[in-house]
Amino acid sequence: MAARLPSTDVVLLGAGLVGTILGRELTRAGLNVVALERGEPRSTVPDFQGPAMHDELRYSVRKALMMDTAKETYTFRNSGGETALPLRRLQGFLPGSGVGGSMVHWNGQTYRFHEADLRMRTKIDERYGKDFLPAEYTIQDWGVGYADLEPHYDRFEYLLGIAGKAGNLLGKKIPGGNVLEEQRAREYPTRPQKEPYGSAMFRKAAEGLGYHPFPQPSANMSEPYTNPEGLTLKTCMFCGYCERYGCEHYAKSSPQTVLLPVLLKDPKFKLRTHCQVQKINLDKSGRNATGVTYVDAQGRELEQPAKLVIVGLYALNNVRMLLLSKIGAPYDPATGKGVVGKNYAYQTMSAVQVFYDEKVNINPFMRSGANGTLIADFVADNFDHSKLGFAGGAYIGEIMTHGRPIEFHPTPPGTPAWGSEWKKAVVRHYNHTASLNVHGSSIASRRNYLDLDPTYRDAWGQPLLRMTFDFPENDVKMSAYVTERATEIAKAMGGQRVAGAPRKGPYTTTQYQTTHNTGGAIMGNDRLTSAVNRYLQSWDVPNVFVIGASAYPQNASYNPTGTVGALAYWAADALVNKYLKSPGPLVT
Amino acid sequence: MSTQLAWSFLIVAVFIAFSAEGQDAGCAGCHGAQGEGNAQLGAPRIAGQPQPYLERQLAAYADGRRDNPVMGPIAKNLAPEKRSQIAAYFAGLSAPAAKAEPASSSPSPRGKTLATRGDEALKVQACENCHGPGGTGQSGLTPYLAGLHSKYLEAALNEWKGGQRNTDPSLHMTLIGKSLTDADIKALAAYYGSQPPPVNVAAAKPPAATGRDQPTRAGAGTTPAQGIGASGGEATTGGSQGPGGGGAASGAGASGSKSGATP
Repeated sequence: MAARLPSTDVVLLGAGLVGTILGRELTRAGLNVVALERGEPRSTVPDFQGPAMHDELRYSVRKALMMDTAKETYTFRNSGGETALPLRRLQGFLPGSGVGGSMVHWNGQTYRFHEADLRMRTKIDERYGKDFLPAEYTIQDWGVGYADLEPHYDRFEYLLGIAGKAGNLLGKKIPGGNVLEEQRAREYPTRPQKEPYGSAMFRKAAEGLGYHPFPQPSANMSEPYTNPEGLTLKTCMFCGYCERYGCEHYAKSSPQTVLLPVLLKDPKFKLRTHCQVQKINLDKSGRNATGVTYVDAQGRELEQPAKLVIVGLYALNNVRMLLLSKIGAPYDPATGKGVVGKNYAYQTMSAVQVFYDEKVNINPFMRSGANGTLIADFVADNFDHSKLGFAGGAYIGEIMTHGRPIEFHPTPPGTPAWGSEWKKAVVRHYNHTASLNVHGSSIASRRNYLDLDPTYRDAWGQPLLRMTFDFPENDVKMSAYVTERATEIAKAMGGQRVAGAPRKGPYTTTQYQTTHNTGGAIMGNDRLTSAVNRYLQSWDVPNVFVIGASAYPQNASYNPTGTVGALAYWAADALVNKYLKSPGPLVT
Repeated sequence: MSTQLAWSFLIVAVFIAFSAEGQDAGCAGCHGAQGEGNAQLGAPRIAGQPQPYLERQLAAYADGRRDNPVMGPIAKNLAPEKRSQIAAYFAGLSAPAAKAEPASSSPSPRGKTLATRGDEALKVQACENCHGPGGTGQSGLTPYLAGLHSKYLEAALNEWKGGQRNTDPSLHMTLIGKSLTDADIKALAAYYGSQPPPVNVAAAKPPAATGRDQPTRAGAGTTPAQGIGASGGEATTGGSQGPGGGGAASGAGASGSKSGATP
């Protein structure tokens, strides 16, 4: 029997991006908040300081900041007919662990989604007809539109101090910014990051082909910035150690730099680390959460009663927590019924390399996680899909993030994979190769979903989450089309040789693609087809809010974090201004 | 005022000492024949500092980004090519370490903490992030700090703090200077003043023997994050950021079906 702790107003599951935003907003509203974090406490000093932080073997290869797969992991299979096996090493994607969550080790690429993403079903039906896509693609509207989220995107970008250049200020198109973006109320809080040489060559080539290049919006600071919380970020030093690393310079937005120093001083906020939440507890009706049960670092099982439960874990773990707690009907791929685990999606990535002669120095080591140049001409529904036979899109950009010595070894096709010829080729090409990324959407498919594994369990005896995923044909077609466009741009960049290939199945977890796992606890306006309502509130248990990329009904072309932040503020606004005044379902 | 008067005389002396080809002759009046510096004058050791760093300082003295009554007039009278030659000359020197600073300026734990670890309350990162393990510097624009006189280091940090020095477009040093208290600045200056300067590996001649160790790139790191990840031992080769490689991470393979792109 778990020892029962004194009750609190709110318990937060996870002290990452969502947990810290909600913690800040709810303590501000006068509530007492307890945050439970499975990992360790971390701060810029001393945990992220150099030279130790630049240990590529420790952090990139051995993934010191990530979830400990010896204790918990996921199982994976490509299709429902296969037996899923546990991921014993993290390779394909990298969920973080510890205070600050995955936002400690992110690159800082911060975008807004389009109206065509948020109302994908409606928009596709309107523009291309109801029969445009096969029925297996279970795309849905989010229940919110861009206009709902704009103030919250704005608030999130100003919290983080995003460096960028507006291309659509209240409808006024501004050349040099992303003229294809949805309109924004004001300019980015800080000026764009410096443009690297490879990015400049990309910009010229893309402009020459009639596209609209713009600087990548970045959470790596272009200049010192003091955010509305009074916290100051410093300038990025272009060390090229963003993704998989914490930033030693206070130059990358993360909970540590934009919120936690304020939050941790608030007596209404209590942070407990090394707390492994086992489940959300429900009363006998099953319609009301009474708190959570967790295991602390000493192995004690404790019950934390709370009036309100905010689930802000890594997207996959949000879904697992609902399944373990029996909140919401699990999705059944055979019938298409049920909601929890439904519409799991990913990201469809490919790349094209440009190999230059030795006079062109790319200096890939002089980069940050987000300081490239890209085009949005093939993002979302910014281009006509009617003759293409697929939905969705991708951005194309020269957005190299590093030239780290263990990981970055560009060699042209035909180079041996090892040996002296390989070494010679790496030396020849290391500083003379630019890489374009094609960062594409992921459509929801009836066959891709999440559930609890029947066999494998974690260190606490709980079933692991099972992932069933492969690239839908729609996304393979999308990747083929946009990667071809990327190759055309690459050929106009003045290199000696261009090499690239579109994404093809089957999906493999053994090589890194992206950490953008989405869906499984999706939002919407219909309780029969979504797990949470438009305010991220559980349809079934109204005092549980499930916030994060788990809410995405399908994944968009852009990186997801900007929208996670916007949804966190959107949900916080609904909690403070609606729910707290009258607790209960916000949508009936 | 008396100090200013003394400086005025010195400036005159230095000007006289500049000869047409003896690049070091004038500078040596304060900075020493081997660039070892002069603690009493507050003239820093400049032997073996990176050439781009020294050249940038001279340019900054000349255009006022670094506001200094002694160096300003001197630098203004040097043509850019001359500044470049002087910088190259001292970058190539290898001076012996100065005598250890007097006990009164022995390092406090605070100085070492700021240098190697930083201060979360002040939001100040460790000096070593840029100035290298042991404060031995990096090539380019980042000078070594170890073995510089504490008097100079204190003055330099106060220049950052007071805005007399504006040579860092990132503003890191300005923000760091403003965050540090006077006591922090003294502690930090004393700490690096007590450390041996690095051996100038670029210098042609071996360093003069001294009683003190002269590390090239020594010094302890800071506490690493106690990460718990258990994912070890995967292959470390591969072409990330390539076809199949991501914009950010590991992964290899020549086929798009094998791996992917960025986070």
